[in-house]
Amino acid sequence: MVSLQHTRRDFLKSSIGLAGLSVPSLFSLVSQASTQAPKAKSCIVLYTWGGMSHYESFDPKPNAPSDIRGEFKPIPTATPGIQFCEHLPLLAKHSEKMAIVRSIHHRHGGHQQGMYVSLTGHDPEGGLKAKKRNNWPSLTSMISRFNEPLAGTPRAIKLPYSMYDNGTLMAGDYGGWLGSAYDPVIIKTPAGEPFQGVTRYTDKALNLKLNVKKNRIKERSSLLHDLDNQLGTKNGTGTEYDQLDRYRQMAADLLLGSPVHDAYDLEKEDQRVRDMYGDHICGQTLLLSRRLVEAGVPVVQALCSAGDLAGGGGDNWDTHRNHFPKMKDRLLPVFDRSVSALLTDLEQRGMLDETLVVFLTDFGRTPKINGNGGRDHHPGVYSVALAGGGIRGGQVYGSSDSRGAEPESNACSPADFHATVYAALGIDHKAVLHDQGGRPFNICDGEPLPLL
Amino acid sequence: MTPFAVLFLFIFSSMAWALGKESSAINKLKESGGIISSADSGGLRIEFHLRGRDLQDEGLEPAQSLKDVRLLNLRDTKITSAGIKHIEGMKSLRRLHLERTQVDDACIDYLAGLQQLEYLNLYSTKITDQGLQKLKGLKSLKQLFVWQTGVTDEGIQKLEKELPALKIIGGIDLDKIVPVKKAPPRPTEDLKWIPSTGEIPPRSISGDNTTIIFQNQMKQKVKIFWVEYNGKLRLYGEIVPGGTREQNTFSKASWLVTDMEDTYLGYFRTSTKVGKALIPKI
Repeated sequence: MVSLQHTRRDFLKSSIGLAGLSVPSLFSLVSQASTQAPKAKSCIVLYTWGGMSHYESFDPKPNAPSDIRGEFKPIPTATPGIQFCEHLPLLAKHSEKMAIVRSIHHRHGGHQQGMYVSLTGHDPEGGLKAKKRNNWPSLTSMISRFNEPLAGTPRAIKLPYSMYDNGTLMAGDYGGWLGSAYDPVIIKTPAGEPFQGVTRYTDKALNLKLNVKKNRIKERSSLLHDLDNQLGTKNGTGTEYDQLDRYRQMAADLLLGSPVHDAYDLEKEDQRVRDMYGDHICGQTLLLSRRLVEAGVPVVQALCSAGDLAGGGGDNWDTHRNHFPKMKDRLLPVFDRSVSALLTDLEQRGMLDETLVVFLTDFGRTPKINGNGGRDHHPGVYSVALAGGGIRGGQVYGSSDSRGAEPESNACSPADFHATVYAALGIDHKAVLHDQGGRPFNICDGEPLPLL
Repeated sequence: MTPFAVLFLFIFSSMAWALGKESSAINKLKESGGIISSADSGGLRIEFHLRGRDLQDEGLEPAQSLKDVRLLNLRDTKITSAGIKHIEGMKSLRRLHLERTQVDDACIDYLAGLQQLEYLNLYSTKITDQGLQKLKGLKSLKQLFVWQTGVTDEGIQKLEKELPALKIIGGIDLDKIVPVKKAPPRPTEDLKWIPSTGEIPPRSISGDNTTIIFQNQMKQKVKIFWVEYNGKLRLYGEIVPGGTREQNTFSKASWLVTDMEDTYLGYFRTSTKVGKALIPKI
């Protein structure tokens, strides 16, 4: 795919520029002759919705008082000096592929505000509503803005459901001012049991029915086309109808056999590979993520939970009650197995160096364990991570203090982390884009961390 | 016309000719489904793995006239070792994807001249240790992928000794994967024991997948029968006194219980919930 990053200036700078003027078709192919390092070509964003505890994942505090350090012990990883929580034994073997950030922090203690700043890299302003077009685009949407996939291939896909908090759809998970064309397509994972959790889809997900015969789809498409012409509804841009139409067209393209269509069919995967990821929602979702990236989808965002309950009800990482049993029995085993399988699989297929894996969450959890055996929201400091494409693995950036309450060294923001992601993908983090009203914005306010 | 202008014209036209040839090669590759873009480090990226999966050996021939190809992706295409001959002159190739194709050890001979090659993906091909050892002349090679091939651990170790800077990814043994242990289903409903009145219980109706967990509280062994959709009985097994049995079923199914002499004792009717079926002391 031809990247949108190549500007006219790049063409003119290139050594072949002048001679190329006589052969216009080549002109668009042979562009810059720069010496920049190879970059990741695709991205998988793993989001632990609800706020994953940094203590019980990437920043254990074994020397803190017992009411802070909690019930679990740290374990060594493949990288000397780096410890993870004992309930991430499989992921600990992959530390050489990962760069952990232990000093990220922000100011927003609510789920909506916390996920907004984490996923958009910008502080929320005023009342947030999911569908507002002046919201900042999510990281996933923004990455998709800089990639042009093949026809029939969505720019960005979200799995397996949208983020809700007590029934309210969350803002910051969409294309925002980039426009509806950059809203990631939501696809339901077609397999996987909830892992000791509950199951309930509450989403209008794009649920592809793979058994529909191709000719029937064609028939329906042409019927629809006739109908459109008769009604004369095919005019204007940006209306709800157009958006609907775009999705319908994409669904039809998918069903009619782009590589994405094959990728969606998990039955085509080796059963042993499916077992490796785990027969739960999270495992099959990450397996599907790999298959979609393999099929040319530039960016996939996956929510990593034990079940498929979209918000509330205790199936996400929001562990205000019974934190330790929930983490130990449900959330961490699923996360550990699925994410480790993803990294193993990307590596053995030779995809890891061109695939960037981004770990994000709303915020961390409080140092103090509350009366219900839970940890509450804590944006003061928490941990995120990168793995794969363009990343120097086996390193930790920054640190939290001895209690895990505040950054101790190299404090950084979600915006800095986003800038790092853009840099790893070869996207200029200072690029200027215009919203639909023509106002210019720098896509990111942060600076890349030295993780590349 | 001055000699200078003639010289200029000559240079310009020969450049244009070379570019024209490249341009036609590019168009042919595009017609075969190739996606062609510029690589990060300059040169070309040529990819067939998305919409060029029908590419066969002869389809790669135009690639011979392309001078500065940095990446070639042939994953999932119909290319065989014979087709790899067309790329033996791609001296600036850095990255080559041959995974999930029909290539075998014979393709390695065509790669000997690719001295800039840093990445070679051969996973899920017919490569063996013999072919692997022929790669030892590729001094720039940094990453090599041989998962799901005939390559053995010994073969990997041998090549790693020859090329210490090379990382060979053998991948995991899929046969050693142990599936996730599923938690036993917890019953969420007590199913009603309906004692025998002598009448045959209602036949099963197709419903949703669920589980019934029998617990035999009798002092004797019992037999469990499923009442088929046509009303016939099908024996599923026996449960010892005090024993339990977890049984996949569908909702709206009837499960009939008899003693060992086939005396009809009673039955359960399932719902969508995981049901606990207590076979009572009589």
